[in-house]
Amino acid sequence: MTMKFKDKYTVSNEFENLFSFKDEKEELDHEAHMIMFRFLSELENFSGTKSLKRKELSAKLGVSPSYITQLYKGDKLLNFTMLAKIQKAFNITFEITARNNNPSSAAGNTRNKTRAGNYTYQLSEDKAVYRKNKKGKL
Amino acid sequence: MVRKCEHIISSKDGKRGIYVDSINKKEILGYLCQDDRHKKKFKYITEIILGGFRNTDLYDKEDINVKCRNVTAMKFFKGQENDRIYCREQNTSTGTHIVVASILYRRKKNNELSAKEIALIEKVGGYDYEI
Repeated sequence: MTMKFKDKYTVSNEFENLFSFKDEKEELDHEAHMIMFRFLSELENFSGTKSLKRKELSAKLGVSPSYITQLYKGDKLLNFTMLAKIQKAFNITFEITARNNNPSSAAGNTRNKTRAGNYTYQLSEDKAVYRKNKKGKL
Repeated sequence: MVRKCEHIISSKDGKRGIYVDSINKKEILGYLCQDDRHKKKFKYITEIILGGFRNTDLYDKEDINVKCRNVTAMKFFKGQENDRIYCREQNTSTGTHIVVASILYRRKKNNELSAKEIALIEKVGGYDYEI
């Protein structure tokens, strides 16, 4: 289940309506966009403040500049193939971190460990970081 | 010019917050609440600000000159309606980074800033909020 705005942030009562979702579909769609924005933000930070022009980025990825703009505006969603293209084009790897939204619960982390058995598993307080193991098995 | 503002939302750790100018609150909220499309975009911008993410298509600095070093813009529907909410960023004595939605500006027409837009941005740059 995704986290609602009220769980993540402190919202003044008067403005709660601004951050409500009609249904779970809308909520999940918002969360999907936020995941994409985190990747795009990381890409911009990595590429340097002003150095990465949209034209250069679109040329590197083999897409139109307007497609890139649509992604940044949130009108389209990135897919994993495009993420792979970004990684290849910039010779980078996005590191993925899973964090339990409820730090007091250790059960979720244990389940993650079982599911991602082929990864080395490090726990730092409520944070689980997955890295590929030395043998490189998935 | 010292102005008043009202709290909308802030991060749980209290390090970042979004406020709205008390005088322009009605107009700004009316704009944001007009339909789901506007609310959806505002939710994106809110999380980008509170999460400290970088997305210049939705939220960016408008520091065009020394008078507006702390002015930013929430960008709504770039390339379409091209509306803006010009904001004033300031830090409180307790270290909280505050973004105050100050003035709504509808239908920005060109990429270049007009004299009217520069005047508006400089006006926001001159605001000082009591938080």
